[in-house]
Amino acid sequence: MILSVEKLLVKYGTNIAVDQIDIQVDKGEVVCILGANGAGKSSLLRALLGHTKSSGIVKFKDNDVSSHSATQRVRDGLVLVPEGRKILTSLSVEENLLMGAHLRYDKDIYTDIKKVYEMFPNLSTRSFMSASVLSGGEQQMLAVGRALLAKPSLLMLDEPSLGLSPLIVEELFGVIQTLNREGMSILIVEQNARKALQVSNRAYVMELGKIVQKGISKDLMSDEKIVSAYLGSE
Amino acid sequence: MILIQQIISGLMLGGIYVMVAVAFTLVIGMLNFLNFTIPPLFMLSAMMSWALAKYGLPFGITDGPINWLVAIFIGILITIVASLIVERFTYRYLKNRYGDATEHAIPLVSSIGFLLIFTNIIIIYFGSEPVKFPVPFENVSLKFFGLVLGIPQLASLIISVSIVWFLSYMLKTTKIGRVLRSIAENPDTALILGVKVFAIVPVIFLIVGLLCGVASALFTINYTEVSAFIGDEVAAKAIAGMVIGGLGNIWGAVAGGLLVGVLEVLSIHFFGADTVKISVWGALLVILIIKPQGIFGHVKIGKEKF
Repeated sequence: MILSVEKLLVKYGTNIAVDQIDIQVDKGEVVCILGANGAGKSSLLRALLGHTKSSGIVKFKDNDVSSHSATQRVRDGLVLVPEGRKILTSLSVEENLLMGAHLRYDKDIYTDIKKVYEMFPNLSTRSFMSASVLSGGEQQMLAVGRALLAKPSLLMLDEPSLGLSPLIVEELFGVIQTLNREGMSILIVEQNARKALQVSNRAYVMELGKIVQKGISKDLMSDEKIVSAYLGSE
Repeated sequence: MILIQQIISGLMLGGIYVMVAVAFTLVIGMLNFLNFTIPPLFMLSAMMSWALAKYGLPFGITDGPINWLVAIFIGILITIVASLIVERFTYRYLKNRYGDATEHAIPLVSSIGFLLIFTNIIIIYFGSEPVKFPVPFENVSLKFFGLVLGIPQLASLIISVSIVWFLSYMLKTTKIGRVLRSIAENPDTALILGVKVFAIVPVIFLIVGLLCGVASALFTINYTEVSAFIGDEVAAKAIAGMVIGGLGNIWGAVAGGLLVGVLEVLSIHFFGADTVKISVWGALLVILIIKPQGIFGHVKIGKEKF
């Protein structure tokens, strides 16, 4: 088990965003968390990163990291691709990638950057341009590339398909599947439930801060309640 | 020829404004607040150097005055430490308590508090009268094709431009520079990437302390007369220079600072000392009307500053 969360609670003042939830991600697994706007999905990921105050136990790679700072967790390999991509537009494309690797001191950084460029050729042709010239899809690729440079053991993606064209979403989920085939554990939070269920092994459904359903993704895809609430008729 | 001489003197005076303007612009660009402790930091460096050169270290560590150059170096160190104290109590402490990372009103107001504290401590201990700093040389100058170049002034221009150039180079190419630019653009994203924002922000205040200290040392050597109020005049002109050049842009602050220096000297030459403020603030007004974002400023402040 790479990530195990017990009784995680996130409160903003008196509002409870994440209400005592338990989640597990096994090594090499893709797990998705479905839920509507305001279900507490992003708060959950931010709490996992140590960016938002929370109580409960977060175990990562069998260590209790509940008291660790975001810096320590990123260094350990718990890396987030934030919602809305959060590209640094005053930096160049390559500098954005280097920011992903800013906690590393090994010599392989530039080899890893090359790998990212091979994965996303659009980025390599623009490596010295400002990241602000990238399209939405390219920005998402850059955000994923930046996260990969932190050498994640668990890659967390917050709404990766938000605002992207269907073609780009296809490409993005293709990349996610490739990464998973190479052995990376992945946790995706998505509103695009159909796509997320297709690529994931297991899924959790969140409503108002609570996990209301969990199971194998394939089973959930034929579950009537899930179909009517998240997938719709097609 | 006289005109060229005046312009050169103006540029050399501008060198001091440049450093203070860069200190202001750095804090605005990075942390989004106008740091009012810059004028007292400038003053603190000069007054502490003067006190050390006059009385020596306290508690009998040295008996009597210490060398003026050593005094100046200690003065710069004291300024850097003071700037870090300011960071501890204006930026970090208050921000932790009240949340919002971009809330700039709280550090702004508490930096005004530090302005009063520093100024009044100096007034209590050393009085408010101008005092003479014991620089052992006077009017050392080079003659060059009929132009007179004061060596301390020339040194101040060279030192200030090279410090600023180095700073800009550091921000552009080094890792710490990249991290600082990320914090400047979006502290929240920087945190997500694992940047220890609270460990990095003091670096900015260290640079601010250094810039104020060195600017003040150069001012002291050039003019030899210091008081508890020298920071106000210099900082006011530096702010004018910064706004003329464009907020949050280092090279804008350089251009603006030099321009203010030249304007000051030229208006003294042509119209007399009383007109300095009119021409500096007049130039600011003209710039604000023609190009409100300043010469090098972007319309969207907070992006692509360096």
